[in-house]
Amino acid sequence: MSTLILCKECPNISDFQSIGFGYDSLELESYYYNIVSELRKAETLGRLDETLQSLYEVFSECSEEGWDGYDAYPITEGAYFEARKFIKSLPLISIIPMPKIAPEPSGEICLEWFKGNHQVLVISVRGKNEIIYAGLFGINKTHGTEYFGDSIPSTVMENLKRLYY
Amino acid sequence: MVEVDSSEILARFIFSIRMYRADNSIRHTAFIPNPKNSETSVFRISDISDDEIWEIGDSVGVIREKPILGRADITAAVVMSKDLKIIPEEPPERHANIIGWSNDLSKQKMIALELASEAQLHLK
Repeated sequence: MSTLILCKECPNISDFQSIGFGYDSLELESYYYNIVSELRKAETLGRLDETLQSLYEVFSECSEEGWDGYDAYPITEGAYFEARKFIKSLPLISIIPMPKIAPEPSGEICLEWFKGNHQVLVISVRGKNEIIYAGLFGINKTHGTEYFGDSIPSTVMENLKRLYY
Repeated sequence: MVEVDSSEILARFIFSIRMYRADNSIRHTAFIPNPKNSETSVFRISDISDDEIWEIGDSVGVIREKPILGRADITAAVVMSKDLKIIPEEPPERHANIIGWSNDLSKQKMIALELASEAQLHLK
């Protein structure tokens, strides 16, 4: 007998979050990924691929020290893969758009949601299971650091909602 | 060297297109301090012409082996209001460093966001 248990706290559909086991669970997982694969063909999900492509371009362009004309560290592989993981963890069906990608002089990858000079959230990753974030929301502002494990920390999601809901 | 007055304009020269957005607004990354010395290098440009500013930028570009793309101008008052200091450091002429950045990287980001939101981009 197989058991499938979906994780109710997981906010995205791009990853099959289950603690189920057995043949049925594997079959269901495969079925699930087929559905997601079809969804990826939709416009919203096409933007995921564009964002991942943009991430790769930033990583390639900024892989040498001093890429900013000053003394920037090269973007690390760890930062690249962690940024990829973050992007793929974003809710696929949501009004939150895909982020813009920018390199940080410290070798991190920055993901940016920009609605205006005083409506912006940036996060950065550096391959250390850590998200460093800062945001401006009109006269309000916030910053902090969160552990990044299997899913996007709720604090980061809440700040994204401050921008888009 | 004369201390920086709050009314002065500072220019942060930009050598990477990644430092500004398609709508010509400036990213916070333009002001993030150099990871090797925790300083943000700027030039004091209040009393010189645009041509003279670009001349300085070009000369910095030669040293950095990168063509200059633009500059982010910001008033010293905005920088000082974030508990940062601007210390003249010549040569080169008119050069200064923004120092006093927090070691907390998230706070550093937030302040850089605030600076970027008040800065004006001038493309070459």
